[in-house]
Amino acid sequence: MVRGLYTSGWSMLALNKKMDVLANNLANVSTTGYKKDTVVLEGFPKLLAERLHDNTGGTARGVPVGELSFSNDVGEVYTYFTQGTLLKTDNSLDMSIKDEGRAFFTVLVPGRGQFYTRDGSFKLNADGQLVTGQGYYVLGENGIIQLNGSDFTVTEDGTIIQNGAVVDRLLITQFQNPDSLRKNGENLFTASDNSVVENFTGTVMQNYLEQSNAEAIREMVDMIALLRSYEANQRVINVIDGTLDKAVNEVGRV
Amino acid sequence: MIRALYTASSGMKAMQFNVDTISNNLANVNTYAYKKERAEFEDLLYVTMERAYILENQGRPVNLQVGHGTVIRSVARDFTAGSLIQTENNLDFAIIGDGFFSVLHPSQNIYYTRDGSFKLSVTDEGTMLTTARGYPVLDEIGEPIYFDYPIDQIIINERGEISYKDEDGLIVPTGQRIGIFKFNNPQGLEAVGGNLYAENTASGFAVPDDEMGEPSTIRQGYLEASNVQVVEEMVNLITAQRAYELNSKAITTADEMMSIANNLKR
Repeated sequence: MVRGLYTSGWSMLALNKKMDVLANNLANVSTTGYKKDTVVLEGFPKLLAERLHDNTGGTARGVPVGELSFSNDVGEVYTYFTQGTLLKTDNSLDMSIKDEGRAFFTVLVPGRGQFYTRDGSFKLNADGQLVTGQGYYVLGENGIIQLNGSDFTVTEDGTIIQNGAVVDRLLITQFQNPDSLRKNGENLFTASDNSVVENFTGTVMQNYLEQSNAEAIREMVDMIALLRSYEANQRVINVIDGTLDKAVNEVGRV
Repeated sequence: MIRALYTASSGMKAMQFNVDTISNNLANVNTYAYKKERAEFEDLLYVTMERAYILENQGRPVNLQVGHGTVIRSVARDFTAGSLIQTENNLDFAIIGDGFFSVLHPSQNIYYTRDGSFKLSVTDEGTMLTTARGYPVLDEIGEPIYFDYPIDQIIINERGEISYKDEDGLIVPTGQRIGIFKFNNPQGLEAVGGNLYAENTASGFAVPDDEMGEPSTIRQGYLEASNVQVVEEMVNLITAQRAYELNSKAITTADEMMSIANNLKR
């Protein structure tokens, strides 16, 4: 009976974590190139339940008790890399990638290495180099991209043409498994050991920005469902507490 | 859950800032050569939540992490051209291209503007070309521009070269040229109000117009309107308000969850 208390209690803790992730999605509905996170709740491993029951008097007896899972926890925070809506801005420095969400602009952060981003709201710095909003270098195939003013065109494969001459081609990194990327804040992602790079198959769109792919309606619905399931867990705890109350104060009365 | 409260409040703060930016754009719908601004956001730090029973060979992706909300990153100024308004006033100029006029501020700083609604100011040295506020407009070598001929005879061609029509109807060049400058990073320019911008290390130094990119051209008798699109701003305003509401709902929800947790113990 007391186990039920912990089951529901733990479930409430997991829902707390889920709420944190939902709130982050909602806070970033206007962040360019943001990719929403979703929480996968997993049951506790059934292994744990079996071990508790298999032992009697210190000897493993292997009596099958049946499968049982106590509560759940956040198993994975999964990032949806689906394409966000493209917004036309008429600014030649705004770029976005149109694909299934696997390709990224490559960004060089001095002293910290290479990062990847879907946020193509680029700028020119005082030296005329193409940089991100934070001032990090946007990489081309030949390194940092040096431009002469903001009057240039970017073709669909990322080639930058200024005054009729090819300046460079944007270094776009496409991953076979974008779910191996980690978020870093500042709209940047880092690759992990599992990341596999493949050839770029999408298109680059100049004068467009990719909006956040967090959808307000979906997040609101998730939030309502979460609140209600949080409430239900509380009810269960209260009921168990009530039963305990009866057992302790009424059954035990002499 | 406490984190959710702060995360959502970061979203509300960002949206407030967004509304500030949008309302400034709307307030300047009729300001000559005003360039609209757009607030840009980025996501905040992420923390990785560890899992005790994670297995080494399971190949689970490492992205068990939760973010801390959003923050304003920059306000990007959109320097796309506004539409041209024909004024038939000889002292109104519009720049087609990326250039800026240079102006001498009373603080002795040189500021830059695209607002070409110039006026004349009578000084001891002669009649001087100034901005509407009376600041001298400079030529390409940084000198004020004086006119000693009737205003309606002044002709400024596409390249900015000043000439005038004499009594016989002949065009006489004065050899002076209105200064037009460009910047590597115009978005880095610091807006100082009064339609003026100041150069700084972020924008790079002013470069004579014809040394960088396509040369700008000047149109006499025209003014550049603000590039604010009211419809676009209204749509942004609606989006910002809804995003603000969304985040406030997230705060209410987190609060309600805390209240539920508090009511666990009767």
